[in-house]
Parts: sequence; structure tokens; C-alpha cells
Amino acid sequence: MKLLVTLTMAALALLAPADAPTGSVSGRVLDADSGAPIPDFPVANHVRTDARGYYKLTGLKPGPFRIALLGERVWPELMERSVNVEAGAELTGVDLPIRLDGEISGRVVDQNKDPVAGVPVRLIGREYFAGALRYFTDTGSATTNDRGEYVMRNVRTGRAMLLLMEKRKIYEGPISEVPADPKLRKPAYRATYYPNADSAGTATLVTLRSGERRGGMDIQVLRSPGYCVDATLMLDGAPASLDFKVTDELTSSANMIPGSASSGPTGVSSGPDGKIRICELYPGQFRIAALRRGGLFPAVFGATSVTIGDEDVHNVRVIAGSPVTIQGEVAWDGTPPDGAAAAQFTLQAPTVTNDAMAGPGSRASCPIPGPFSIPALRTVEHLLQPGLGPPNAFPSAYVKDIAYGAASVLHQAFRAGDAGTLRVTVANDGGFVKVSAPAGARILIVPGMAATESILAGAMVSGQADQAGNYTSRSLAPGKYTVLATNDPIDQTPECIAAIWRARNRGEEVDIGPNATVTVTLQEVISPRSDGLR
Amino acid sequence: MRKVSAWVIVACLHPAAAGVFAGRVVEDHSGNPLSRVEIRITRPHTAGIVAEMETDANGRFRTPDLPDVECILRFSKTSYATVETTTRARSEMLLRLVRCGAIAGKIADSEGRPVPYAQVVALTPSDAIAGTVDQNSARGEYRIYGLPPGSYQVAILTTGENRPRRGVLIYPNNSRPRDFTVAGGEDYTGADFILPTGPAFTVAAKVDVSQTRPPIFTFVSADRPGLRLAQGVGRPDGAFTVEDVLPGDYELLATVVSPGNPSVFGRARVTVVASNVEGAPVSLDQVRSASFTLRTQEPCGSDAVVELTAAEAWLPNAPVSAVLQAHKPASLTGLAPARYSIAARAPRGNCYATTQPVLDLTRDSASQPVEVVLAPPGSIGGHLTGAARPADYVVVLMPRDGSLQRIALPDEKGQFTFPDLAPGAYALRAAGPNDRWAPTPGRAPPLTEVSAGPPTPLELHVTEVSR
Repeated sequence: MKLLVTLTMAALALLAPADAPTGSVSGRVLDADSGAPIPDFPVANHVRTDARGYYKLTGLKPGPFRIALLGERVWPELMERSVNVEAGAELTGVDLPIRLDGEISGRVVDQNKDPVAGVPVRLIGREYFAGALRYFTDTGSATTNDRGEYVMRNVRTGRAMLLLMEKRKIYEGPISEVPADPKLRKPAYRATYYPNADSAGTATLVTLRSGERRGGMDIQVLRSPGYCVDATLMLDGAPASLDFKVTDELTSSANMIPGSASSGPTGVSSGPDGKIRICELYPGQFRIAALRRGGLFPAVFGATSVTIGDEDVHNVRVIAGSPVTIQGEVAWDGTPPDGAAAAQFTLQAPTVTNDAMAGPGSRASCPIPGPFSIPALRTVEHLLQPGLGPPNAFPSAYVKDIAYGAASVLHQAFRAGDAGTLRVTVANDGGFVKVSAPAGARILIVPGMAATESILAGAMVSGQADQAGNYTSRSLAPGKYTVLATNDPIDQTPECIAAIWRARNRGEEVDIGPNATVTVTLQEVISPRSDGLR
Repeated sequence: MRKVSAWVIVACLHPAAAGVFAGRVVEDHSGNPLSRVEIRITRPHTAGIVAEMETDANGRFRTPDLPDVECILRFSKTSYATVETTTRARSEMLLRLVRCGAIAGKIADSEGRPVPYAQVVALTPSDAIAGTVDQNSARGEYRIYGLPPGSYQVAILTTGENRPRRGVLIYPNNSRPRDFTVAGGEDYTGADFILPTGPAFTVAAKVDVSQTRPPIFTFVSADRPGLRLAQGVGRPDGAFTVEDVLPGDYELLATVVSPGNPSVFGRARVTVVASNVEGAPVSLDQVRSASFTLRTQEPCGSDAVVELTAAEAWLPNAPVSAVLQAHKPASLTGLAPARYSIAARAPRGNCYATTQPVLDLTRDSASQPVEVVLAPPGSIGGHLTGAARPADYVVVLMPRDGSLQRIALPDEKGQFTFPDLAPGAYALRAAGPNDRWAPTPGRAPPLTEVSAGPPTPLELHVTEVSR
């Protein structure tokens, strides 16, 4: 196993010149689950932990210093630790908990326990994203060998995930030659979750401890009658020759989360009549995407959902199109701040798709107040990610709302329609929470208005206290919040969000007034062992 | 895993019910029933699938009633050889699928420590890489599976991740390689490598040409030039370096691609003994060319496509092709000085294009045009003799190019037919229901030359041993 912990480029830039006063940082690298020190672990190019897991970084320029763990086996929730380096001082006790990668092995068998060779097995992660719980391909994949065995390495540990066997779709042409009569077809391989479930809801979740190697993870594949879908790919109101792709909507419903990936290949192009016929589909929800490439990303794209029941589906129309331009307008809520003429609004709108085909999304910017426009695909969800600038110029400003028609699309998926203009409201009455907590604790600020776990996932604010235990939030909308501290990694998994949801009444409630700063001292740190955050 | 070609034994014990294909599929070497064998039924020269199904847990299959016409049945299962046969409906067929072979072992250093990130491959006699490699780098274990019947050697091409050591290491040693023969179901273990200790060296070379574009190069074993040990892009002055090379004989193949100008090729032989090789000159070689003519027969149209693929690991290594028209010689120019395999195909219809299999341009351009012949399909009309019950036998047809093998089912009088064959040479063998076929290198069955047009007659004799 190869583990790398390196300094970020930013951190490297803070290394001091030879004659400047410097500081140092020391601590241990620990297994996040067992707490055991990890010896001989690389912390920087020339520093490794000793036999007891200790490291010491010297010659650091005084000031904020961020240790970032960028190794491929060190997962994002554990990757950062911020400290404040003091000249002539050694900052001790900066422990770095990491999770070592895991390994899953087993066999894929049929109902007779005979091995199924040559089928891929992969891990599916679940996270709240763009206002919904979505599924995506996590790291870790393998293909069964001739004995039906698989070994999946580099598995993310500490997270509940689904183990999935999903046979890769192979398109022999735009029109499948599978017989029209279902009785003359071979059965289809269903996407099967460990151990033999046909849906994520009935599957057994798999959570590995740090460094765990778990064997015997056998999957018994499910079969079902195979069905066909015939569809016409359309562009500008007429059938067109387009590429296409079919994916199971459940097995990968988002591609915007780190670690996610496309779940299948693109089929060969349809003919000029736009006709395609796709077979070997099992009962479930599928998404058919039509596209035409224009460089790295599609120039036109469209997708539609198809539900397979117990018969073939006919006459589906998949309408592709170029992005439409959505007009928007951003305005101050109330009196603009001093120097408002310099204020800039930016909006990124990445796509939320299950097929990694719709490109990186689009970006717009404008002064505040002012108009803007973004391109958006009608058949694809986008996540609106607003930003305000210049940096630190308007510390009390925050995006209060993004309205599309009558609906708020802030923290939600946005789909371009006919609801008119995107109306962005920026307020300058934000307040702050100053937190005093144990050093290095992760701080959670949960809005009181979060009525569901999904809303909580999108609206909560998190950060990390420095070695003095101090943390100050970014600008927050006035209102009631709950503030908590934990030593656990914070992520968007349903397990983590549910634990925060349950624990929210144990935090400190604060009521932030306009342009006010609330100070909170958190004595209690929620522990995973006693509170079940994990 | 890719499907591979091989054969089955089919015994037709009884006349079929009209319009029904039915039978049982077993593993050739064990006789165990094979479940989930995919059976695809099509009609010759007709688009669409008539029916497809799988064998059940007992290896049995049975189609619903189908029109009683001649069909092509293809039997496939991952890790088994795929085979097809052309026949009318039959029942109680017994099929024996040949399981692909596997070779497994460990890779360790001289102190027994696992060696991670080794590139281990199985090689056919023509140095094509075969099978699928399942590798646990951390433990140094490997398993190559999906090997169709044939003969293989196992080789390591590179070891290490960031600084791979380069050189062909054949099991158990380069001077006396072991041939692993796969007849069906073999699962070889213990093919362990102990990697030699000792230093590796650097080979620095330079293309002797004033080009403003850097050369792209490959580094290959002199004995096995199809195996790429390193590749890269050199500097604009034509220089390039290959690091971590084990002692041995190698060839450097360099190409300078310049838009709007013909590519320039160079090659050099390098021997690494016990020190770095500095400044090895890569002398330029003239580009090669070859011309082609097309001879065609009615009703095959007047055009064909010819495609050349270099056997050596030149870069770029994409096949080059030309469209040929009758009575109009065509040329391919700007070719690397390589040894090429030639494939020809008819773009439409039922005809076949044939030509010589290899074109060697290593020394010079082709002096004579290469003739491509476009001809209607041939067939074999055969008679199996010597068998008390000919219908219990199967005749296996093995194309010389290693493409999909086919079977024919003799009738009660021993008559059998292989329709729709590309003109060329084929090996045929008759097998009874209890026979196993084991390929023996250098002992292939005699060849039968099949001509275009009328059936080629063939008498195939078997000698039955009384028990």
C-alpha cells in the first residue's frame, strides 16, 4: 500500500527563507479508527513518522499553515489540518488522523452458486447533493476472474457504501438485433447489490474499518426477463443522427461528487432517422441520453427517463438540444453597503447528471446589482453555486435567495424551464458566530429552519477550530442556529447527516441578529463512540 | 473478457423434432454440465437474431418452435472457447465446450520479497499478448486466464511502478523458456519468477536527422520486437533516453512525424552489457512502399480494402489501409521498414478477399505488386469414413488464421458440409464423443485447400478402435 501525505503548494510556499525566524509543527499520524500510531509514514518529502508515529516539520514560516493530506488513499474528510505557526516555537500535539484504504474480496455467483466470470463489481457511495440523496461511483472497482473471484483494492474506509455488480452495456449497433418476441430472448443480468438485492433500499451496506481487508463478500446475481426500448433521437424537432447512452438511474445518479465516474460507455451513433433499439434491460428506471460531441464535451445533449416494467417500451423520444440562455438578475436586499459599486456576483452552474456527459456546466458574473445570463440544458439538472467578490470586501454579504419563478433554487437542483428570470438576492446584514472549542475540533452550524435532513445537508456550515480552539464562521443570514463541535469528519453521507440531525438539539442554540457577532463556547465535543455520529 | 475461438464436440443422437434446437452442453475435460452458456441463433446472410437463450443448471437448452431452416448456432461462455455451427434443427445435441487455460505464479526478488507492479503477460508463438491478467501487486501474485487452446510462454516486460526496469524475462529463463500447452481446462500454478538482482542501465540515442519535431520512439527486445518495453517522445534535436534497462539485446524504433511531410523512420540495434549506452546513433531508413492489385470474380463487385499492420511495435502503430479497385493498382507509401501482416476484406456482399498473409518491408520496398483476390465463398462437401456411427461424430474446422472455429455434424451416411468459407487453407479433424483434442505444437492436421465456388470434396477417415 502506498500512502502519501504531502504539503500543499500553498504550504510549501510558506517554508521560510533560511535566515528568517521559523517555527515547527509536530504530532503523530494516527489511525482514525483505532487511534494507533502509524510508523514510517511519509509526512513530507524528507520527513517520515518514527516508530511511534511521531513527525516533526521544521523551518516553517510563521503564520497560518495548512497541512493537506493529498495521498490517493487519504480521503477528503481527513485531508486538512490548519495550524498557526509561531516564530521560534514548536507547535506540538498536531495529530493527523488518517484512514488507510481497505480491501474487499469475494465471488460473484449465479443462483446455482456457479461462478460468474468477467463481470464488474464496484462501490456506490450515497451523498446528499443538490437537494437530494444521490448515488455515485466511489473509488474501488474490480472485475471477476474466470473463477468468479474479485479483489477490490483502494477502498474508502469508514463510510457505508453499496457493493454493486452491474454488467457493462455493450452496444453492437444502434438497432439491437435481439428478437422481437420476448420468449426468444435470453434473460438479462440485473444490477445486483450485495448480497443479492435488486435495489439500494434492500441492499446491505458495507462499512470497512481503516485498513480492513474483508473477504467473503459474495454477490449472487439476479436475473430477469430482458426487455427492449425503441426510441427516436431528436434534435431541433426532427430525428437526427446522435450518439446515445443508457444508464440505470439508481446505480449512479450524480457525477459531481469527487470520486464519481461515468457508469457506462456511449453507444454508436443512430442513423439519420434517429432510431435506436436497446435491449437486455431489466425492470427499473433507466435514463437514455442523446448527444453530439463538439470537442471534449457535447455540443448538444438531452436525456429522458424510461421505466421498464414487464414489457418492451416503444416510441420513446429523446430530445437533445443546445443549451438555452437563462437570464438572471442580481440585486441587493435593502440598502447596499458602502463601496457596493465594486461588488461582483459570480454563478457557476455545473450539471448534475448520472452519465458524466453533459460537460462542466457554465459560469456567469456581473456587478451587483446587474443582469447576467448562463447557458443551461433543459433536460439536465444544474446546481447553482453563487459567489461574491472581491474577496473580503463585503464580509457581511451573503446570498439570501435564488428564485426561479415562485420556487427557491438555493441549495437545490435547478432545471431550465419557462419560469422566466433567475432572481438572486444578496443581503449585507449577515452575522457571525465566533466559536471557542477544543483545538482542532470540527464546528457545525445548523440553521434552525432546516426542516429535513436534505435541507440540513445543503444549508449547514462547517469548519475547523485552530490549535487555540478558535473558529469564526463566514457571514450567515440572521436567524436561529445550532452550533456543535465534533472530532469526527463531516461529510454528506446520510449516516453523517442523520447523526447531525439527531444531535442538533444537543448543541448551543444561537440567534444571530443583523450584522451581529455571537460568541459560543463549546465545552462538549460530540464523540462518535458515545453519540453515534458514525 | 474477450471470447476466444475454439471448438466443441457435438453428437447428434436422434433426428430432431421439426423446428426445435435442443441439447446439452458440458465442459469438455470434466464432463460437468455447463450452465449459462449463451446460445445465439441466426440465419446465414440474414440480419437479426432468430433466438437467443442460455443453458439451464443442468446444461440443457431447448428452443421454442422455430422455422425449420438452416441456422447458425453460436455457443459462448466467458472463460470458454466460442464455437459456431451451421445446421438445421436438431434435438438431443451434446456439446462439449473447451475451457480456456490459466497460468498462475508469484513474482519475487532474490530475497523472496513480493515484487509489485510487474507487467506479466502470456505470449502466443507470434508474440501476441493473450488472456487476461489478474494481478495482486502487493503480494506479487499473478494469474493469467482466458487462454484459448494453444501454446504460450509467460514473460515479464517491466517491473516497478515509478522507475520500471525494462527487459523481457521469460519463465523460467530466457535461454530455455517453458511452453505451456493449453488443450482445455489446464490451470497451471507455480510459474514463479525470481527477478535477477543487479544494476539496470540507461540507453541514450539520437536520431541522426535535422528535424524540428521530436521523434517518437519505442524500445523493443531484439528477439521479440512486437513487445514494447518503453515508448516516449524525444527532444527536438532528435535525442531520447530509455532508463532502467536490463542487460540484453534491444532495438530502438524511431519515427519523426512532420505535418505535411512524409514520416521519417529510423532504427538501431543496441546491446546492453554492463554499462550505460551513450549516443547510440539511430540511422535513418528510407520509407517503404507497396503496391496492390485486385483480381475479382463475378458477382463480387470491383473493390476491396487491404490493411497492413506492423508486427514490430512502431509508433504510431495504427493499421494503414487502401481501397483497391479492379484493374487499378493502388499503392501505400510512407511505410515504416517493418514486417506487416496483411488483411483484405470485401466491403459488401458474401464474397471474400484473400491475399498473402505477410509482407516483409524491413529491407526494402515491395518489388512486386501484392495481389488481392476477391472471390465468392467456397465450401467443403465432405464424407466421413471409417466410423460405425458417423452421426456420433463432429468435424472441427480450424482456420489457419486462428479465427472462429466451426463444426459440422455428419449425417447417418457420414456426409457433412461446411458452407460459406473464405478461400484458403483449413485444417480439419473428426472427433468422436469420447475424444479430446490436444494441440501439439508442430503437429497440426494436414491442410485442405478450399477454392472459391463449387464445393471442395473431402474424404475424412477415422480409425475406430474396438473395445
